[in-house]
Amino acid sequence: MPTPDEMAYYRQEELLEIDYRPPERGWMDTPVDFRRGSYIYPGKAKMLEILGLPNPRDWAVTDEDWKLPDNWKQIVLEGMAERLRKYRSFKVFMDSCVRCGACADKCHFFIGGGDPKNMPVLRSELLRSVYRKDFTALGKVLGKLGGARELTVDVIKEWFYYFYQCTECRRCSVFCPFGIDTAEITMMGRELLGLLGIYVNWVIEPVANCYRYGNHLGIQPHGLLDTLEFMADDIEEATGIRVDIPMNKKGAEILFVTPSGDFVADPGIFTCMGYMLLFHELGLDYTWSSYASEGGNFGLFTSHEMIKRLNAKIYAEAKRLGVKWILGGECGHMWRVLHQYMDTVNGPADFLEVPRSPITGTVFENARSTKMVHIMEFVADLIHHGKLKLRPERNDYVRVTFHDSCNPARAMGLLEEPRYVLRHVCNHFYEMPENTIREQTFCCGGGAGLGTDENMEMRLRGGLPRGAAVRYVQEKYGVNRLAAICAIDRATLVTVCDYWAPGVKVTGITELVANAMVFEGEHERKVDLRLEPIPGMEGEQESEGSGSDE
Amino acid sequence: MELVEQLRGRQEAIARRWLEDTLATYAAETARRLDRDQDRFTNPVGYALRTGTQAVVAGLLEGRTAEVLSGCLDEIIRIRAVQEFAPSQAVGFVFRLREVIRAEVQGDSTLRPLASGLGELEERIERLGLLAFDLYMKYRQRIFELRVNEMKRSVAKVIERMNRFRPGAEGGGLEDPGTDGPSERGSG
Ligand code: SF4
Ligand code: SF4
Repeated sequence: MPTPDEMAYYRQEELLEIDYRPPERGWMDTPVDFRRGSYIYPGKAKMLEILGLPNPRDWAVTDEDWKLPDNWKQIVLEGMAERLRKYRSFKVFMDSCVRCGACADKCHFFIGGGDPKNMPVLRSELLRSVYRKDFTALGKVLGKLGGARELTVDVIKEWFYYFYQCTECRRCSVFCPFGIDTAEITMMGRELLGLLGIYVNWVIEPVANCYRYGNHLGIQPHGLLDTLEFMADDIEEATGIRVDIPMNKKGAEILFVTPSGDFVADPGIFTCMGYMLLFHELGLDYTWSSYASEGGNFGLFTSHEMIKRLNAKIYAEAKRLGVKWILGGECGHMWRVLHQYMDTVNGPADFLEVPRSPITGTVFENARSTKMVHIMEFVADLIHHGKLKLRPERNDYVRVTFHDSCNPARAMGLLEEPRYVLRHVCNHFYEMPENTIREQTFCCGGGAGLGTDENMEMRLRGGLPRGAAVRYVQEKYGVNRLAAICAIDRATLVTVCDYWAPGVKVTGITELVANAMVFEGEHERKVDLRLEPIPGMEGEQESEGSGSDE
Repeated sequence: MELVEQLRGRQEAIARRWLEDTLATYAAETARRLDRDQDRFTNPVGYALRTGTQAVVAGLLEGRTAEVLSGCLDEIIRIRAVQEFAPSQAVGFVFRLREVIRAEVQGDSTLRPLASGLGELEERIERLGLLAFDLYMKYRQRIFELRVNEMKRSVAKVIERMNRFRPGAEGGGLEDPGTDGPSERGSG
């Protein structure tokens, strides 16, 4: 054995050299490698059957044979041709990318994971390369040199892998000089996969439930009533107030629709309890619907046709119940559908009135066409008119930051209202760094049907940029709550925080509103809506008026 | 440990070499971008790699405790535990520090006579590798706990209970909704 002062010792370096560097290969020649923790389980045959979708069968992602129909290639190419005709944006997005790379490092999956195919520009190239080959003259002639490639089963598999590693968050589109929206390309990719019966179960099971029961979870009417009753019990314990649960009430002024995640999942239920308390205090003439019992719409992650099918119930129930307008709860992708699709696919809602707050008289002109108002717009207006009695100091143990959920922020521009509300109900609100919020907000990593658990590593990679910014404000300002107005966020960010910023809990804004609100006839508020003691408020009645913090 | 003192003066160069070596475990295009963007929020991985490798090299040469060194490695390993690396790749970069330091010594005639000091330093790096392995296991374990926690929070069971009671429905209620969750084969 040579010793370190002999030259031979250093030559070991070469002996130790192992080939750990990934080979430099063109992306087209790098076949997809399905990694555990990165892919999602396929849609079950029975779900496809319920929905009348093609090619229902049982299969696994790791199977060599995905049991595609014999004429699969023809199906995909015809499907592509049809969509190029139908959606002008799709054609424009296929043609106009100059591969400038401005979007390349803007996707949270690329930022956190480093797989080049998660660069938005490459994600869309997966589809665009096939478009070039089969739909452009140049691509037909030049082939690979012109960035074109043959559609093969491997390409289909690659589409599946990477179109389900996109949360359709649209962050990349903010940076594209041409406004190319990779989320829409992902949507097209998923539609085309759907023609072959390729879905993920995390999406298609909720869709099948929603189609039959009105909500993703398959909660039936009596189940919904029961769950709201449970919440009413907890509300009574926290505040001493018994709230009514108007269900399918004909002739009510307002129909309230919220994502079903708020009915069952912690911490969404606390936000739901917040809605009930708020409406009770205002004496609002509103109703729940046991069929429009889901604001969310996993059709958005399936196909345009499915968006329409699942969303139809909202206007249908509004009509059946004879309400004047619709109020919507805290949800992300629900608002993308309501704001950008509902009017076109299910409208016009000419049987409804332009929403007008019965408390303040404010007419929501922005909702003139859809007739549906966001709970944050509604609450911000109430606060602005001094209609809520608030004691923000009840939330003093909460040091909160706000996560702009992708869809409310980027798809409907709802940036100020939630902040306005937060500032009025909490004394300690801290923003995350500028380049991680508002239009540039980072996704939770689990939207668009990716929020299941078998792809946990992928979600955590995607959640890294958000998690890093949360940890920064945690360390700098002692932030212990992350507020988000999205039901998917309220589920997925719990996990993101547990991994990247342990100690930060997730909350909806209406939960904080209700905790700060003073209700007519309430008893001494010793616990919050989570039924956890409110620090410093254990004896609030006694100290009131004494002018002392003691 | 004269060698260590000498190396302390080249700390930055060593950290830089090690960083480059670690970046090379990513695809070339990725490595370029991880290295270029200096913003800690838009490039958290690059930031963690850069600051982490610097801190580890400094701590190692200053003879810091295992606890301190583990803290310096923490974020890098937390990140690599969720990236698509085999376990050996996820922690293997730590052992490469040995080669980096050897190369530094070999490349400099004033350092070469001090090379007998390498043995101890390399022992420290081996211990560092073991710390990295502990961290890796800690984070892999946490990932599985998070999965289990999500399953526990999962709503399927609650709904099953909620739907069990069907007033007025004499067996002829609606068919059960699908609340059995995902499965690998997509069957069931
Ligand atoms: S920013 Fe737009 S034009 Fe540039 S590569 Fe990305 S999608 Fe193409
Ligand atoms: S839409 Fe979001 S997830 Fe999809 S490529 Fe763009 S940044 Fe990534």
